[in-house]
Amino acid sequence: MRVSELTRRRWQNFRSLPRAYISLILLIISFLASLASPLWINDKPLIFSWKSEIYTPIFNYYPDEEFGGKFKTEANYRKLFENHKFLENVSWSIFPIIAHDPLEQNLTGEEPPPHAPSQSHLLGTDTHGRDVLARLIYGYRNGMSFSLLLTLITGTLAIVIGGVQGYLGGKVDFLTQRFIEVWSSLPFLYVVIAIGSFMGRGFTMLLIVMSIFSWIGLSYYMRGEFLKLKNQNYVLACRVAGISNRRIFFNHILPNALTPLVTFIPFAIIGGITSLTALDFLGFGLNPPTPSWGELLAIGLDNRFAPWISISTVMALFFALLLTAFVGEGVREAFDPKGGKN
Amino acid sequence: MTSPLLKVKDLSLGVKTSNHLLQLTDRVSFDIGEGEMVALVGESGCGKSITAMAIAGLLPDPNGVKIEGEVVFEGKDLWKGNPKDWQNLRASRLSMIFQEPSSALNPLMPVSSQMAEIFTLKGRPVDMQHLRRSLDEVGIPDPDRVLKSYPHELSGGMLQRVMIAMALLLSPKLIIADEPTTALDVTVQAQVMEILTKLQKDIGTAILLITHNLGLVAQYANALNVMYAGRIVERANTRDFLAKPLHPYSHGLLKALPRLDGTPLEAIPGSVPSPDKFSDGCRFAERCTHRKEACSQPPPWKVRSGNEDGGYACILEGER
Repeated sequence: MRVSELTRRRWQNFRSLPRAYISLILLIISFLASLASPLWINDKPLIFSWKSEIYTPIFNYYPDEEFGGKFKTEANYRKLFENHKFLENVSWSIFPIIAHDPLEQNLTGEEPPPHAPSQSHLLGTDTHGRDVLARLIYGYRNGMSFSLLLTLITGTLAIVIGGVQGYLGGKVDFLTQRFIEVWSSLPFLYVVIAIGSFMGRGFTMLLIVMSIFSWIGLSYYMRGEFLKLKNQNYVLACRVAGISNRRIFFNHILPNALTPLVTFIPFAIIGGITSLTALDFLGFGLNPPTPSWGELLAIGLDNRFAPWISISTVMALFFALLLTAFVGEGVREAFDPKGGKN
Repeated sequence: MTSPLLKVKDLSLGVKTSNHLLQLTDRVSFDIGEGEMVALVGESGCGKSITAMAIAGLLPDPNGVKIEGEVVFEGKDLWKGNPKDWQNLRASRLSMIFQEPSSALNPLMPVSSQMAEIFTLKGRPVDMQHLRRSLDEVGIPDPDRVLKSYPHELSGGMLQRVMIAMALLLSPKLIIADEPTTALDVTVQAQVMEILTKLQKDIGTAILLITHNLGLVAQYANALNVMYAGRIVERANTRDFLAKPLHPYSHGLLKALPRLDGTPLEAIPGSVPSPDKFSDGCRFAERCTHRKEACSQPPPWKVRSGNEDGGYACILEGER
């Protein structure tokens, strides 16, 4: 694919705003890192050698029996690595940087959880003795994936529905518009609660429920763009030449109508993260014990004597949203025909 | 007389607004023979462009527009039969050139892929040699550079030439040129018109030239139809028309052209009435210096003496 002159200029404009460019890089790196988090946040060792054989517990399942235990269930590596008899046969081992699972409960200390930050729990633990840092990073992974998927689905729905409305116009447009008005007046939170109560509140379920509501705002923009562009001369020229509607829609109008969508994406991502956090905070979001920022915020609010929970979560939320907003600012700048240095 | 390439007969176009039907053109009829250049002349807002759109099948929404009369192209009525068929017919036999060349090409596609699209559409392999040759024919000095360019990298004159080259790719029988030179500089205008006439002669394509520029018509067109407020008020071949315009409106148009001998320009007072104020009687009456009582009746169509094809719609007998 050839990159058009315009796209190149926009990319240059985007890069000319350092905070947007740096934010984008940070977001991409942090998201990729969070996707790989089982490799570096885990209570299992990454790799170890026992009786001169190599074991990789993160990728493979080893029953307790393998290491001389009684059970067919997976070995409990934390207990094993405290066992002297076991350790005698271990010649070397590599643990993940953060040796905690987000679901692992540490109830061993003298005091009941939440534990304040310490060497083993850098950001402390929550009320269940789970590592806050591990939960923050896994929560980021969940929230960001959710938000990106939501934006993808929302964008596609908006393009298809708004685009068809704008392109066909007339009765289709009128009827769809009325349907959208009715649809958008459904109270979102009640629908989430109602559907969640009988369909369960999984990641996919929430994604579907939120997708069917959040395409509406963007579809207005797409409809407007298509209404405007379908009467451009080059579209008329295509029609005289007998080019099919589908081809006109996807090849000639859509690429020209993407500007509002692209500008909208960072803010849609912000919206996705905040709404998932809000739902989790209220307890209507992802099922516990799924790690999530909203749940951490709720725990933090209930345990104000353990400020490390709320402070770290608020900071994480703040930076994630700030970086995304910077990217959004950069994108807006890049698409501004009046702005930029070129 | 053999049947013409395009025959427009009593074409009336109306737009449905919320409470009534707005009649934009009223029984427009004209013919174009093979290889002829026929002009449709008139002020802004008199229905030229919508007539062209109707012929090209570009009326915005078929449900919102009321069409009466017939458009016969190569002996086939374009409103009858399957819409798919007209579209195929139009695609291969009829092309259109637009007023604003800068908006007539997709800004995000290089020229070559837009031209090539016409081949892929016909299921033919893309022939870059053919593209280069067609650009060469319309007087583009370095076709290779232009093919690689995006529309914003080319000037208006260049783009219009690309448009003409595209219009000619399938050797159409008829080209509708909707104000092809209005957005261009005068010098480029002349070049573009020269290219069009040259191609008209070489390939034998008929051209429907829609313009408000009588200068162009005088120089290039074989025949012309003067439109006013949705009606054709005079039809003549160019020579007759320039020698002796019969309708007072045509007369006024010619007087409004700048001349070399220094005669002051005479503007026609007033402006074209808007479609909701179109009357049954002569629509030019309000602005006409020869207005009579009888002008409130529909004007009679009178045949030009000496040339049966010409005629005009006025109660005057041609004496002024």
